[in-house]
Amino acid sequence: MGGGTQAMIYVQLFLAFLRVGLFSFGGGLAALPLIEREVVTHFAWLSHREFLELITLSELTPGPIAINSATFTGFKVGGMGGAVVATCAFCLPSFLLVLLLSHFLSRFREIPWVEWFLQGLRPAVLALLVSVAYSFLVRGMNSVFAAVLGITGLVLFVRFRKVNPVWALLFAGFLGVWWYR
Amino acid sequence: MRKSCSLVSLFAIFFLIGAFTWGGGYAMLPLIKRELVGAGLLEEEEFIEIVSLAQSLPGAVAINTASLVGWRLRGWRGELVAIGGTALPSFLSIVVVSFFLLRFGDLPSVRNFFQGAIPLVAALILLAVWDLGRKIVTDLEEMFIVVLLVFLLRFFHLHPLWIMCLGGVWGVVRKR
Repeated sequence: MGGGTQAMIYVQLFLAFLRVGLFSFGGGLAALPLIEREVVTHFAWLSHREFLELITLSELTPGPIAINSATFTGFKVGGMGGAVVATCAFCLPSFLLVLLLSHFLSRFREIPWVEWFLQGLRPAVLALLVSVAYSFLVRGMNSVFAAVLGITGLVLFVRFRKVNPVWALLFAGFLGVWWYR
Repeated sequence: MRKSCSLVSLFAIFFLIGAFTWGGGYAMLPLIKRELVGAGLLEEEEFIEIVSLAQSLPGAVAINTASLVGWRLRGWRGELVAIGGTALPSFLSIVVVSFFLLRFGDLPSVRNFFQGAIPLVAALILLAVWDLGRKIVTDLEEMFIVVLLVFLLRFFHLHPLWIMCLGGVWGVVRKR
């Protein structure tokens, strides 16, 4: 890969994750449809399958999902430099908004229509989550075994709220290794 | 009188918070509260204000919280240090994992591991949908708007940003 294309990838990674950092509201899972747009649909850095794997990895490793996604995608397409560029780009809006607007932010929230607008974001965040769930159901539940695992997991999580998702995911993963071998 | 907090300990606090919370965001709030309010670095009311602001800013709630706390305690240097501390554990663990995944990701057993784990992630996401839905959908109008937005997103491939804007505008129109 030449120097020119490498620089181009850094620029694309920077812009993609700057947009994610600037336009994702509601945190965590709600950022996923936007990330999917950028990394799967628009730039085709990851396949649909890899995107599901990335979310699975994010559940297994510490830290915010968006950071995990930025680092993973950056690393895959641009190596260590790409990972740094994508991760920093995602954090940049948060840094700048607080730095430049911190004096106004608290007062800003007291304007009634700003509060109304933020209230209105909540059904939109729910819609984004439903869309993520839809992707998982369509692409992840592709066998009877997968459906059994998913339903068992759901019952388990609902019934025992304290079940640690990390251990549950690892256990299901190793079940998968054993079942599909 | 507020206790002062060195940049090094600010970094250490947020590094710990980043390293020991899975999924970020809301999971980290009790830990932040203990480390900052418990240690006398932030007042209880400041903490509540910061948390509420962090949720209304774009980006990850964890990073926004770090940014706001860092700014409040040590200005722009504090912001950089707190954001860096929060992001670093996540960054390092993903770099290590993806290093191996890119080498061994095509092995059948790695494929099968994901094949087994993905249905459980689906269950976790459905659970999040259920929890959030129960909290915010309280009448038919809200139900309708959620269904409409899902429809626009999935079948008309409307950009997520437009979905957020429509939701926000609906919030304003409804209250006026």
